Amino acid sequence: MKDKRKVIFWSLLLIIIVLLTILFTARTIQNYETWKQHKDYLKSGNKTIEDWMTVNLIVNRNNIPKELIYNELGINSSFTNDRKHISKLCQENNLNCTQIVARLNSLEGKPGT
Amino acid sequence: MDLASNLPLFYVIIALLSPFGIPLGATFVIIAAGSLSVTFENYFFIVSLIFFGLIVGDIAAYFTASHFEKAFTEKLLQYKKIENKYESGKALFNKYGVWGIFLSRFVLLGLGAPLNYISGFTKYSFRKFLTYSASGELLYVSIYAYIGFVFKDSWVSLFDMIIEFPYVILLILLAVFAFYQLKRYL
Repeated sequence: MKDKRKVIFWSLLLIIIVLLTILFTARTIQNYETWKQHKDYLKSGNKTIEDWMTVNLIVNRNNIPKELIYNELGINSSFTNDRKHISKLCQENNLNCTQIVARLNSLEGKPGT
Repeated sequence: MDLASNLPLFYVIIALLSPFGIPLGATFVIIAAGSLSVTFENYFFIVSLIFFGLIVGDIAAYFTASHFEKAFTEKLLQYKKIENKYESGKALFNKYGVWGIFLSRFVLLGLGAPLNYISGFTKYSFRKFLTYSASGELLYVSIYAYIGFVFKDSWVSLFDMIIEFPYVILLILLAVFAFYQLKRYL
């Protein structure tokens, strides 16, 4: 009887752990795929700004001054903001990301940038 | 004063406060610090600086909890039911605590601060605490700063994966453990 209870307990625990492992593995694979896509994009030489890019990345890749990017975003520069995806900054500050990205893309190549 | 303009001071403050459990995004800052390192000398300087801050923070958190140990146990032991559990929990922590302390520094991120407090409250051997937390912190700073150093600007896309991957390993180990336990009763 006692063993039967233990079998049920360990079976249930094993099922829960396996389900969690599957969930976390799937997320990790998905994150890896996303990172790989970003890496390939950066290697491709395509200069179009996308919403997954960080402010630092845009500054280094597209030579747009940081102040101009923050000006478009309407937020202050900070150590963590420099390293957040544009999509996350938009989400945190209730901004329309499509418009922001379009404006950032139009900034590139303009005089003074 | 804008702390971000004085980066070494910013790193030390983050490293000093995070062992108390204050959510300052220490891992994020460590990887970012690594990504800012241009040379290996830079990298080692940052690793040493943050490592120093984390160790001082760990020791401070341990002694803070240790200072309040009497008041904490007196309150807890008011309840008869908890008394036995507290003693068995303390014995269990004395037996396996080293692994908890060591792994919580660089694998089970987020558990470091609670374990600092538990170590202090239970008056866990300070020498053991310091040895294992220092070893874990050294691995933590070296590995995460190195990720930033290698991946530079693209590390942000890797961040979620870096944080979740150790939990996948832990879950696999737990699944193996649960499977062997189950096999014992079949």
